[in-house]
Formats: sequence, C-alpha cells, structure tokens
Amino acid sequence: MKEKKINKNPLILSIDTSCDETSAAVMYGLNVLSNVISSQIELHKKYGGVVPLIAKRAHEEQIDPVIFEALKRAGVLLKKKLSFNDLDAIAVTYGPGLAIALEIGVEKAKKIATEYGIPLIKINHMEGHFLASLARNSKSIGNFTDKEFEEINFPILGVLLSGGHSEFILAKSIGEYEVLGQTLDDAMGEAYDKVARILGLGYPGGKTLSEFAKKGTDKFKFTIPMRRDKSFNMSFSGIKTAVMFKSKELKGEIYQPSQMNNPNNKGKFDIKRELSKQDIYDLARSFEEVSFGHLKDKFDRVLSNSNVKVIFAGGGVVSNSKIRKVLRETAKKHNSKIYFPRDDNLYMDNAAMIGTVAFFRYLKEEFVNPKELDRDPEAKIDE
Amino acid sequence: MQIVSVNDENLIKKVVSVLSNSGLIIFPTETCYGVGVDATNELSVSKLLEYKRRPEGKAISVAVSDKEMAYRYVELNDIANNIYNNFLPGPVTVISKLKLNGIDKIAKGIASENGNLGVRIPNYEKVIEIIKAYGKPITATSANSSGAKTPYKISDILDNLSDKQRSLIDLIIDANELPHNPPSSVVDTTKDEMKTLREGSVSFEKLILEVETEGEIETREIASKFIARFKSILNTKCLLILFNASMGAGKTIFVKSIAEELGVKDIVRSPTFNLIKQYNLGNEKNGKLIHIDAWRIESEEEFEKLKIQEYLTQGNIVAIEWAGGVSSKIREQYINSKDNENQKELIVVGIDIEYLSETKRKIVITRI
Repeated sequence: MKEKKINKNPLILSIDTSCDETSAAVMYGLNVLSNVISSQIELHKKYGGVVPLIAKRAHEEQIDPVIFEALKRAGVLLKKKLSFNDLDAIAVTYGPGLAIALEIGVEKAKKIATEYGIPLIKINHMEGHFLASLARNSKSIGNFTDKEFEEINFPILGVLLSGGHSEFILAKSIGEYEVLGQTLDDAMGEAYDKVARILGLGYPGGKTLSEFAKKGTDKFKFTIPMRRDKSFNMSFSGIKTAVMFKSKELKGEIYQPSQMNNPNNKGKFDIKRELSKQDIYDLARSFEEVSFGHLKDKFDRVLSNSNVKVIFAGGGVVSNSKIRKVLRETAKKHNSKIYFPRDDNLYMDNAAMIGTVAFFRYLKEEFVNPKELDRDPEAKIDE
Repeated sequence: MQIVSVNDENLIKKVVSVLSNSGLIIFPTETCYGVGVDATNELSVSKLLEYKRRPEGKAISVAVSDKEMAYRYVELNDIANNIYNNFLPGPVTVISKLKLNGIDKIAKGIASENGNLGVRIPNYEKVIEIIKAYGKPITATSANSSGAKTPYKISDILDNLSDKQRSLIDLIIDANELPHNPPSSVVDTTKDEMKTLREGSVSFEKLILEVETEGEIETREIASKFIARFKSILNTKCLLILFNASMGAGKTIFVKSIAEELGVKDIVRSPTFNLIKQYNLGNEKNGKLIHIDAWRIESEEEFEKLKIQEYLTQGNIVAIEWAGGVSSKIREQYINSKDNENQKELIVVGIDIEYLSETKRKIVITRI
C-alpha cells in the first residue's frame, strides 16, 4: 500500500460492470477526465481484431480495453501517459447487479489494487446514480462549486429511474440512505422497452417509443395505477399490460370462446389488422402520459410528506427530457430544487458516477481489503 | 328392465325410485356407461357384485354429486382437495381413506380391505342431478362385466351379458353412443405423495394442475397452493420452474406469490433488466429463490454464461421466465443429461400461463 497521504483531489480509476455495460472512468476529484462505456466505442476496430466478437455483456473481453481507453483519454487531458501507479485509489461497483457481470469488475479492481498497492473502494451502483449530479466535467464545471455544495442542506431526495430500478431514496448525508419507495414490479425504463416491443419497435426501443409519442395524442387515457395507495411505491407492470390489451383490441385479436373446446386451438387470437402508424403514436403517447401521471403522483406524494428541498435525479430514464420536465414541474410545485447529471453519459450505467461516490469515500479513507471484497448482486443502499 | 332416454322429463324421479328400491341402473358418464346402485345399501351392493361377476374384496369406486358429499364418507387431505378443486367434476377417480367415525357409512364390499375408497364426480350434468336428488353416493364402476370391453353404447353392454346378468338391470339411461373417451384416471391420495394407479385422459404423472383463473388474486392463490405442495421437497432437492407465458400473463405475480409463501421479505421485482435476481427464503437450509428472466438472452451461448448450474442446489428454487428460447439447452444440460449429478437433486416443473381474456388465464403446471 502506498504511503497514507490523502490527496484533496485524488486521481481515481473507477469500474462498473453491473449488468450490460462495461465501463471505466478516471476522475480527478469530482472532475470526470474520462468515462468510457463499452457500447459506445467500437473496441474490436480499435484493438485491431484482438477481440473478434464482442457480444453484449462480454465483460471479460471488454474490461481491459475499456480500462486502458479510460486511462488513455484521461492522460490526454493531463498531458501525460497515465499508469496504474499514478492512481490514488481504485473504485468498483460491488452490487446490485448481475453476479457474473459484477465479478468481472470486482476481480479486476482487486487485482489492480493488490498488484499496485492502491487503496480499493467499493461502491453501490445505486449510490452512483444518486450522486451522478455531483460529477463535473474535466474543466470542473458542474451543478455545484465546492462552496455551493457545502451549503446544501441535507436530506437530499434521490429520484432514480432506470432500466433496472425506479426508486425514491432519501440521503441523510452522503453514505447514509433510506429507501422511501420503489417499483413493485417493472422498472420505468423496463416498461418503456417492453411497450416498445409490444408496439413492434424492437428491443430496447424505449427511446424510439418516446420519439413516436410526440406525434400521438393521449387518446386511450389509461388509468393511473395506485392512486389510493399511500406508500411511495410505484408499479409499471399494469400499465404495460393495459397497453398490450389495447393494442390487441385495435388489432382485432379477440379470443373466440366458441373455439375453447377445440383441442387444436391454443388460445390464439385471429389477427384482423396491423397497428397503423397513428395507432402506434397514440399508444406510445397514452403510455407516456399514464406513466408520467403515475410518476408525478408518487413524486408529489413523497415531496408532500417530507421536508426535502434538494433533489437529485439519475438513471437512464431521466435522460428523457419529457421526464425531466415532469420532475422539474413537480419539484417546483413544492419549492424544491432539482438537479440532473450534467452529461448524457452520466445518466446511463457508467463508471464516472462510481468515481464520484468514490471521491467522498476516499476523503473519509473508507477503503476495503481486496481479499475481503466480494460482489453482492442484491446489495442494498440502505444497509 | 326399462330403458329411458337421458332426456326423459321424469328421468330423475324414475331413477331415484329405482335406487331407493335397491335397484340397479346403467348410466352414462363422460367416460363410458357405468353401473350404479346405492353404495350405502348392502343388498344393492351384493346385486352389483353379482352383475359384475366380481369377487368380493376388489374395491368399487363411487360417484358423488360434489365435494361435500365425498367429505361425508372419506378424509380429504391437501392432495385430494387440490384434485377436487381443480379437476372435478371430471374423469378422475380419487382414492381416499374412509372416515373412521363418520355418521354416513358405505356398504360392505365397496371399499378396499384397507379402508380406501375411490370417489369421483362424473362430468355429466344429469348424473350429478340424480345423485344430488338421491342424496347418497352410487357405485360408478363401468357397466361391462369384469374384463369385457369398455361400454360406450347400450348394445356394447347387453350383447356381452348373460341372461342372468341382464335380469339384474332395473333401468337403463340411454344417451346413445358416448364419445370414446378413456376410462377415468385413478389416483391414490392416501400416501404422502400422490400415485397414479390408472392413467386416463388426465395424466397425473405429468400434470400437476390445470386451472382457469379470473383475476390476479386467483392467480396468486394458485401460486401459493402450488408452492405449498412443493415446499417440502426443498429439504432434499432443488426446484426448477420453467415458465412459458407471454408478456403480461402474470409470471412475475406468480413468482411474487411463491416468494411470499416461502417467507421472502424483500420486494420481488421483475428480473428483466438484471437477468437474475435472488432472494433469501429464510428457511433453515439457507435456500434462495433465484428469479431469472431469459427474455434478453440472445443465444444459448449467452445463457450458458449465466452459469445457472451454480444455483441448482438443494434448498433453492430457480424460476426462469421466458424459458422457451433456452429450454432445449436446459433440457439437454440439466434434465436429460445422464452423468449430471444435479439431475437427481432436481425437480423440474413447467408452468404455462395462457391468456383467455384480459382477466382470465389458463394455468397448466406439469412435471418435466
């Protein structure tokens, strides 16, 4: 281990392999020097065919190229060639996520930490999404200056909406959290992708769906779920099912009870027609409206029942500007200030948000023994 | 001997009168023609045994109008209740233990020597009405004499009887030729594990449950019932559940209910994004519920990388949604493989959920 000198602006390499993406970032304090995400770079081209086939979630094949790319890009900004020896710490997501994905990142971080004697920091993926709004760009421009950040009054509410999560989390301080509510079934991003698939827009088609919604109207006025439920939990599964049945109805796929006794009939529906473009636009719009309504309801309920004045939103779904608008309007109604990550890459699963949290752990010297670190697919932010 | 049409206006009155006078009737069911006498009347039963030319001591099953009537004579355990609730009326004879201290008694010569009785509720409306009107069970053995061919029409019966036997028949309910359905399945529910003694159109070796549900609550109930039955195998085995159902059918709800029933405290959420989610069951074995969604899995190769074999250990439940695309791989690796040690430890169950309408689902659970 290096000498125990704590650097006010540490250089930290962070890794996130929680699910689909392999990501590595280099942070200088809260400044993102690089944030490499596997799906966004063509690794096999760059590395001259060393990796012939890069499948999704092939973390073991992607981890080295992604880390080296992160170091290289950060080195360009710092005008020096970075190596592991230059790092003050290495941080890694230990959960929640997919076990076989998490372990690639965790094992890699442990190996680097051990080999180079660098302090190791473990980070919860959701805490990364929560604090992504604190990350600044390489020129140190972000939502807050150091001084502004010091003046923030806790608690802070986190609204985290992604493909895998939809949660309201309260931070009493950095590192001390309480989950106020979460989805009981599908995450909001998941609902987007599933509805996109129902409408024949492929998978993942959430972004296309949201584009199509702009051309439609809220024709079907789906019922907002859980209106009388007093908890801060959400549910998107029923919305998805409602869209599906509406689309079946439009297509004339109605089950024929007279065929019930026919053993050859497997309950298939008779397809009468395909959805028209306008049907798809209207279904997409109606889906968004009911989802927004549900989110607004629950967010409103959280804010009405707490004394939160500062909100951080994060997660891939929040990169949708319409959702940011919904959140902003609701926050405004409660005189609360809402912040969003400053860069598109900070919304999705990425390593810079992990490095952001790691900065605070580093200052408190909350390091872990590489021999004792293990991935935890069901890691909880409030434990 | 009189022959009456099944559509005769006074059918029920006529039949009840014959039964009350220790008479013997031939009646249609959803399987074949049966021979019925008052199962509580010894005189009637001896007449039946003479007709069947069947030695005493071989058990004869009875037909009742509903579960309540059955319960007057036999004990109904969980397994039996499950079959009554989900398969009866229908072509299934359920063997249960006679009630030891019941007020109502079955006549001698009907139950087996060790006190077991086969009971069924024929899925034939007129017959149910008759039994209901009569208020007591009637015998429900097939109308052929022992060993002869299954009778689907009256001539099948009469042509193969001796004059003596024919003279024992008091009334025939004629419903013309019946569809040639196989005889009822016979299942023994008196042991801890259900045993199929005769396989009919409903196969219990494979089929665990087939039921239509209306609304989410009923789906939840079925899930709870299902897992309550399989809970005990987790002491020694791993339960692998393969779901085959389309989007919105209620797979996650099903798994949620299983989790609740097994004492999982966390909220069970969709595993679509994460692919695998796991929950502690909170039992002594430290078992886990492993919830997998194979929907986003694009190839068998990718599926292999999930290393699900590591989860297939004693005490765990592994539930895979969208198993269709990877089921051949699962079968090859975990079910049909000969040298796989896991196989012995594994109980594999398929759950198909099919839409009937927005609220109605058909759930079919089978052993694989």
